[in-house]
Amino acid sequence: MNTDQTLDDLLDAYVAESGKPNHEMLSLWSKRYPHYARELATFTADWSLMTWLPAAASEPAEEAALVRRGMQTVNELLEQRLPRAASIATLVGEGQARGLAVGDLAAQAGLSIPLVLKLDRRLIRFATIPMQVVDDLARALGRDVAAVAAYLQGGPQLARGASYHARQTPAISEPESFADAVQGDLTLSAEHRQRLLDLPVRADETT
Amino acid sequence: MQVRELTRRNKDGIPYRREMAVERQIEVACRLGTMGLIERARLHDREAPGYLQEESLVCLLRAYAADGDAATVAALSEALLERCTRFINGKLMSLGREAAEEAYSDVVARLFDLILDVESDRGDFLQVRFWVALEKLVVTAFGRQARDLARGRMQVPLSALPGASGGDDEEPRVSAQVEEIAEHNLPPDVALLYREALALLDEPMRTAFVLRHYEGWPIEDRDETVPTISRYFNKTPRTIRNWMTTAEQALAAWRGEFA
Repeated sequence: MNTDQTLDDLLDAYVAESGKPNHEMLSLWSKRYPHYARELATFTADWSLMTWLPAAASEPAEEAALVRRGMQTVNELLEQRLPRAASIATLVGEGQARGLAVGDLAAQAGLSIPLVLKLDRRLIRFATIPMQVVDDLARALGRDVAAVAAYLQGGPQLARGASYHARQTPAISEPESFADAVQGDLTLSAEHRQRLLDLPVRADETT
Repeated sequence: MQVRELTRRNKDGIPYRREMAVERQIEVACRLGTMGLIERARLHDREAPGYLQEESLVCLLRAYAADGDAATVAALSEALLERCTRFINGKLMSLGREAAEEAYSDVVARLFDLILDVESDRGDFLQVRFWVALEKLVVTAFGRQARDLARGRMQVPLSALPGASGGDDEEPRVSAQVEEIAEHNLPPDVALLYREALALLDEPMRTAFVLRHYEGWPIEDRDETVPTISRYFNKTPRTIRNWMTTAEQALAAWRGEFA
């Protein structure tokens, strides 16, 4: 091993070659790299314990919550490493940071409050959202279209700030199409509804 | 957008190389534009046309990070996390929910620290064998969290933790007959049954039991280069046998209640 190789590199190679915790492989590698024998043994013991301890399966809603938690970590790293353009945490939050209440944001983007809230929670499939809507939201928020599009393509989220009395976090409903969300929005006038339904959607992305 | 060549070297001094399939995916992805790329990144079906492997996603993430395009980096990061979260969490859940969440955050922080460090080649291996590199990060986080838990619960005197020094002959000696029992491996069906109850064991008995009965580590060996349970814990073989016996008695009691 080269002198500039680190323990991390060694463990990467060890996992790749071993495939799973294995005493024979540990013995071999400990002889090959005696300076790291202690670290290899600790790693293998941890690996063994992780492999054999019984673990409960996680629910999809828990996994969605973990992804959000992970994204907080990623965003913190991004702010340190790429301070020029932080990603959008939420549409509503981004609007509030610019002094726009939800109603203001809806009005400036040519949408309704229910539609903005659904887009905020990513309950509308991105592929069905007319590009004009993405453009209008980006303009209202003063952000790049790519930033808004990137946000809208994330996984659906539970309502923020809601409290749940059930023992388990409720399941997130399946995202719907933009057209279905517009059709089901009773706050829209007939004219406004039709205008939104008439916006062009990219070919093969109508459902 | 500039895709950087890999410069990190493997243990034999040879630079890492991406798989050909990954290189082809990256080449195609670079022509997609950010919108198309993000759509592809969100494909979860490995058989879907246009699916991008995780190694490709890491390469593209680094390229967009080098360009300072935080929006695309965030979207690709989320797509990558959605693919990894079940894998990571499934391996950490045995720690208990709270500790598993801590360890999960640890894994994510270290994973993205490697990916987003575009000034170095520390993250190169993630573009070669992503799941291997992730497994290593998960094991390391698991170990850190498990040791924190053991310290926090005061289950283990610090002197009993691996790496601690000091003698241990003050512990009571069990009978020679029980020592002999501890020398033998458990029958496979019993080991399988006991697996469900391993969480009931305290450390360090639990780790010692797993290493002996599930991984086949010897308690002792005359060859000093052979890893043994005794050397791992820096305890005498007699102490390890005592721990084995304590663990087996606890599991036998559990089995009695279970039956």
